[in-house]
Amino acid sequence: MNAFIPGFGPLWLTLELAAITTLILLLMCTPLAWWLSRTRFRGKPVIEAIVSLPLVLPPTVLGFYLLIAMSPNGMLGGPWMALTGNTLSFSFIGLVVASCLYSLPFVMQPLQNAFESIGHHPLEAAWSLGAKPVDAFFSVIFPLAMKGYITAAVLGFAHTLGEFGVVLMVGGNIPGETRVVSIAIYDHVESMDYDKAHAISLVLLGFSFVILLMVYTINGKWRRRGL
Amino acid sequence: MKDKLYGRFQLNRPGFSLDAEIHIPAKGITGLFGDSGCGKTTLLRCLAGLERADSGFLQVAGKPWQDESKGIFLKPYERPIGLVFQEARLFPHMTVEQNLLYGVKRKRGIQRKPSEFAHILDLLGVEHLLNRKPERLSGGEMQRVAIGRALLTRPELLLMDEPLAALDNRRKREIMPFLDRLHEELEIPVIYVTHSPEELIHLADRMIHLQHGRVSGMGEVVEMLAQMSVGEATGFSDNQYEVVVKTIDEKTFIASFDSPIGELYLAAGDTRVGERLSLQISAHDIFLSDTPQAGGRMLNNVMAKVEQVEGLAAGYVQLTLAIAKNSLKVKISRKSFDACPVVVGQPVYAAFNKAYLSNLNTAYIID
Repeated sequence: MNAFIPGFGPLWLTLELAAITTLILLLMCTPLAWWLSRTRFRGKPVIEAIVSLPLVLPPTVLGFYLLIAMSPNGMLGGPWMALTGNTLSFSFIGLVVASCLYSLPFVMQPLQNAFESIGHHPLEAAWSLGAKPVDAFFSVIFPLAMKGYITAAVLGFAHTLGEFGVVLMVGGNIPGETRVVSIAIYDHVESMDYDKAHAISLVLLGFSFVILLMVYTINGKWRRRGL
Repeated sequence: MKDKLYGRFQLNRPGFSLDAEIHIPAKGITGLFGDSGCGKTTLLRCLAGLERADSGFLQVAGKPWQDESKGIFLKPYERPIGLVFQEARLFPHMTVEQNLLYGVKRKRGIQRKPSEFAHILDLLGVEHLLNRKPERLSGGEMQRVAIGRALLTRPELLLMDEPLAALDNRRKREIMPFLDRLHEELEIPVIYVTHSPEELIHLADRMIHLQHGRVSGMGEVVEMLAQMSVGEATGFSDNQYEVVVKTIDEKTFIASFDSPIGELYLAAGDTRVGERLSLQISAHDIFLSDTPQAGGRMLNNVMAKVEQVEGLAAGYVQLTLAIAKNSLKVKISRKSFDACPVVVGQPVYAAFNKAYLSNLNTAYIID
């Protein structure tokens, strides 16, 4: 199939990367965002600032530090090498790690906002009715935070989709492994192959529009239902 | 031990400390009364386990719920309590029925009994709301569903934190009869937080008065209010008469009463002809005028003679009026007194619509 649809390989790889990254971030950010929304810990602003760093940091800076950390002697790459025998940089797994950091604030902030706006009232009500914390979370907090989860998932996914600088730094341009769609487009433009660049860009444009359209349609329905 | 509940809590927060010891009998409503910031909600949260007092002891029906000396502390979801908050706190993503059944499924060892479910729905008048979402309920309906949700878990202790405070007067009156019925039926102790003496008089059997985080008194509501001169503040203790229901008009639902200050008319409520009741009129609820016309649209407009005028603290003047061989106390602000003074011996008309009727078991506000 790779041969018939232009840019299918990079596109598929990108979707895979974005989906895996989003899933990991949703799982990771849920407890952290929950904790941040409740805690009176004094160091909270420090943690919030660190989480938000990827928002303002140039992707190349983030990518540079990640490249060093992921090198076979780095603090991430070293243990990974010892564990698996492979390098972390210039691999798909390395891209996932980098994407998770890069898109972290886009998932964290909607979740934290959602939890903060829910407050402690519904939780206390659930407790008083005999719901243990995990049960209370899934039966009350999670449904009430659903809009926050959708926003977090869409932002995390879309942001990973368009990632360029970080990937270039830590992943390079290995077909089938780290050659994501934004790099493929860049490549085609570099080699003056505008037709292929057009084709992939159009697919990406259409795809992004459809996702956003779905989100806004669902949100609108919920708003009418009062959620 | 006769007491169903015994608790002792010491808790220190910046700018606030609670140090309270309470006893609650097995049945009846105990009002937890005090000004805002006195710690009544904090005390309730300690009872619910939502707040953990640094030094606390709580025993309910012989079982320890908290004993810090032994490190015992039951979490809120481990306590057999029903909790009703000021805001109903219904779950907005569930229907009324799902809200009602939320706790039934979760509290251990409780089987859903259809008869019990139907009975509580009927008691609170919410059966027609089952399929609605909370957003489509009025404030009073929400609060009734919240009470039902708490009761259906068959709690051993019902805690209510100012359940009427967020409602306007009309909604309050709408929900009062339901609370009255609860009062008659419930076999468990109820702790009812309020800052309203009216709700206390109406609902509670006994009360605990909290001031600055300390218990300043426990006892019968009427005695306590009199002691604290809260009755003074609301004026209800000023005018109290024994009355007998003479007739009830079926069309207007107005009852006429034989009273020491003549024949009075009030909304009939649940009264029966021939019933002997205690009637209280707040000294603040009486409208004074020089002519009968001014108070003509009030249910009661009695002619009286000013017997005594005395200044009270806080900008009020108290007038004692003579009616027949009895007296009626009226409080008006110093400002309106100065604008339109009255002198001893002057005839005036005293008009009022609102009064408190009570017998030994129940009390209700009429206006």
